[in-house]
Amino acid sequence: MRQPTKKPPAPKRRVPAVRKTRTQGREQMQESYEYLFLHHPVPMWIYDTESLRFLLVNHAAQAKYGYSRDEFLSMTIYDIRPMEDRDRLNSFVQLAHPELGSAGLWRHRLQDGTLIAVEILSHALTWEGRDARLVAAYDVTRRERSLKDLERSQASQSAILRHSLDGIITINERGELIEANPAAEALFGWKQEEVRGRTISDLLIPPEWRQAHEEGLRRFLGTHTSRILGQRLEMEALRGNGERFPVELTVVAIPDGNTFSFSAFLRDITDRKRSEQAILELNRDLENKVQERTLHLEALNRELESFSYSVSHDLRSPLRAIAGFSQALEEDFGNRLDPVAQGYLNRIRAATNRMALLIDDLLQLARVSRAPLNPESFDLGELAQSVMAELEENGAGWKGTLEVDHPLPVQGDPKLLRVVVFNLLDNARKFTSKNPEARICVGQSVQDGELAYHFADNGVGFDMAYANKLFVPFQRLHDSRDFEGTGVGLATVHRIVLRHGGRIWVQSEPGRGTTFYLHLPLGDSAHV
Amino acid sequence: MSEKNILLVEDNPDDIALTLRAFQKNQIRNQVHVASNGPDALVFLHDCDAETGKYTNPLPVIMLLDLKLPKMDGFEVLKRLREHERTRYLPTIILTSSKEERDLAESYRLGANSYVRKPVSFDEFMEAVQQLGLYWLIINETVPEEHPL
Repeated sequence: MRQPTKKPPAPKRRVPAVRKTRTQGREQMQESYEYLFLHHPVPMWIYDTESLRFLLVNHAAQAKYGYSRDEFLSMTIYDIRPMEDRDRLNSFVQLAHPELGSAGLWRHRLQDGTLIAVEILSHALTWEGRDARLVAAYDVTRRERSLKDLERSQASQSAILRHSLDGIITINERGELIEANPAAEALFGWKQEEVRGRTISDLLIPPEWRQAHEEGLRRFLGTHTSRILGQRLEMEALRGNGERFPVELTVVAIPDGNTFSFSAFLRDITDRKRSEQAILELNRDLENKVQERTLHLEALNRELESFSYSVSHDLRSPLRAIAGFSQALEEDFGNRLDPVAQGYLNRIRAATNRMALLIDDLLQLARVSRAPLNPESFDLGELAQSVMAELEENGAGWKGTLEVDHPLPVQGDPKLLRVVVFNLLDNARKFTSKNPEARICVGQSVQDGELAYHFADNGVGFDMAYANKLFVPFQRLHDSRDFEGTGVGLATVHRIVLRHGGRIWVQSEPGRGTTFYLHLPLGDSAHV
Repeated sequence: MSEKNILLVEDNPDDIALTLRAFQKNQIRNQVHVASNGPDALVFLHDCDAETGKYTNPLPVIMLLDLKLPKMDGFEVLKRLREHERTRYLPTIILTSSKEERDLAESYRLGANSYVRKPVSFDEFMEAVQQLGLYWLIINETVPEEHPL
């Protein structure tokens, strides 16, 4: 048998015409068939059944596998297979083979190492006196790959269906159930075998939704438009036993040839609805409670008001009697009293005056706690000067200087801040009264990153160990023999600053002086 | 009956005594009639003889009215006073321990002519009374009574 030259040549010659050569000899016929074999577009070869060597290889095989004719002829059919397939090939070649037929699906390795999937057709024949097989190898790599992809996608789809926590049901264009996953079965309480083919209108849609469902389905099939596809919907559904329950669902349309199927992903939201209801009820309860408490607080507040009203009236009257009659005693019978008795009378009158102050301060503390807050913008420096003038009028005798920064804009309730400034300046005057060079400074500075107003004096100061008692009612840091006071003023100041949503703190050193710092936030953070 | 009488409406005997003493100390010698509650004060002012239709008591030239009174509080007394023809313009001074703003506002709303907070200090009280006496008994021209007796 003569072989064509090694490289698969482009067919230069005319195809030898078999029919024309009918009268020619057998040799010529064979040459023509060989020519057809060599130029067949499907890779083909003949191998020796015994030695498994290639005996003849066509051009397509050489081109496909990347071996030259000579290389092929030096190889056996093992050489175009991956090692791990050799056992299978062994058992295959030992089998008795039908004369003609499929040898099935194999993997072949090309010269460059690429593995391809091939469908093999083979035929037993005798070639030049030897048992041989004629083989045609069809490359089906692409087909196999897409089959694999399809299998993988089907497997994953089926796993999703099987294990999804959401119920998934699929219906056809007539609304008939064609598939339901286990979660859907659990959700509705039936098995898909029992209900397959029934319309979901009949099966699980509550009566009042049926018409809308059927119309929606018709509209989509007619116009391919829908208001609900792909949306998150909430509605009610029926379980197998007729029980209604709330579901959340999304419906998608899946093209299926020239029609559609529809899949719905459903979730039972009974628990969520119940929680929502519970939250609503809790909120309502809470509101009721708040209202109750508010009423209670309002009642308490009224009591407190009537209490302070009584204090204002009833505590002051006996005090007035004590003061009045002790003075009457002194005026009318003074000449009959010795100096000791006169001294006692003076003590009584001084004590009543202190108590009157205390009552007034307490009333003011109560008042600043409940007075409405009317914030305005004004100048704190001007307020300080006006308060100083008032203090001067009420009790002269303070010799010192007041230094006020200008401008000193502030936002707050002018009436209440006047009480603050009054108390702070009154204190400052009191505690600098023994300093011949008394000085009070009112201004603004940045303290720990916050803008703060300060009221600084060079008075007697106090030990910072007691600073925490400063803003508690009735707590005094000085002997009343040295400095008079009720111990209520700074509690009132503190209360007012808190009501403005602000902070007050103090820095002091015995013998050096005291500085009060006030931070008042602008805007609406005040606690009205 | 041209004497300038004073009506003091006050229930606290101490305050009555102190007020009378303050008048006396300030040389205010007008006759002072004391009513210790609201209804008594109204009777004193409005009571008249069933036959003659004449008022039983002369109309005082001023009235000092405490707010906190038994039976009927000072506001109610003031309100009824202003509703009555005879006492519509009777100069009335609220004399009280309260310095609640709403009391002050309510007093003026109901037609009080003045509002004086009773100070604890007797000196201050004396001073207040003195000014009251000066203003209302000497300076102020009151509206003449429409039916002089």
